[in-house]
Amino acid sequence: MTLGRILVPSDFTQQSAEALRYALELARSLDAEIDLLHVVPAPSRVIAAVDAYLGRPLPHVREEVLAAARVRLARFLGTMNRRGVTVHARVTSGDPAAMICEHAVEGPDDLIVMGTHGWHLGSLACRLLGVAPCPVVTVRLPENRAQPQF
Amino acid sequence: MKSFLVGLDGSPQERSVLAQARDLAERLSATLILFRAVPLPVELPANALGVSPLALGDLLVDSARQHLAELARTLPPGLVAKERVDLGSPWRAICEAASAERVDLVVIGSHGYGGLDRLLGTTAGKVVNHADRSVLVVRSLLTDGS
Repeated sequence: MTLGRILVPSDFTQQSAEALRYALELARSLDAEIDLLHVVPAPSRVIAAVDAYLGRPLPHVREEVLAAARVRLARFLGTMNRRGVTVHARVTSGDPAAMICEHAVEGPDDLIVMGTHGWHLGSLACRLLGVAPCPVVTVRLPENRAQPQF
Repeated sequence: MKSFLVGLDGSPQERSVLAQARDLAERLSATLILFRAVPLPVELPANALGVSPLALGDLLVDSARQHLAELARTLPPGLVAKERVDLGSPWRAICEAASAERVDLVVIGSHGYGGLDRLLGTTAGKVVNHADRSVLVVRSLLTDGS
């Protein structure tokens, strides 16, 4: 298993912060690089195509919104100890789950590290587990460790 | 990260799961706990028909333990911290063993544990949902290749 590049999807939540922290630690041990991806939610490509066909205003996500997200992602990354790890931060727009799955399938990453939200997986993690061609680590928030529930 | 719990199931894919767990553990200087859940009442070996129902659990656990010992022999010395077999449904047994052993990471394959899971991967999904620690789900190379 080659582990040169790790994909970390981020939505700025505490869970994704934990996932990034975990991925940075892993990347440092494995001498890997990180692809940090944030997807600004926007209608899917199908909806965009229909809107274009109907002559509705496009694009759905203005450049200022993407620029603000880039600043926010840089700030998010700035709160982490990224010493010794190359991080490629990237902002894109679309249906988050679909875009992240697409990146996982078509991108160069060898591992995906993502946060989980409590006791039931979000649709993103479920979809990723189904389509990802590479291993997936789901990172649990440390405080949840105290009280397992079944 | 110091210890990984590797969920094994006796399927043809388990060697691929174990190989990937071994690879990661060696790079991170971690040790492995080889784990196998024995669900009842499936997977009855032929000699199980001759024993009393009370002895059946022990028989299945012993057979699973031998299986793990064989796998452990294929790994470098010092890598396997212990082998553990528990009775119960696989996803629940894996989650409980991971908590009890206080491992840093659970490593499981995306498929295994029987026909339905081959389609749905329900054991992997449930472990990810319910484990109180981080989980690495690896692709079973044999499944992908076939």
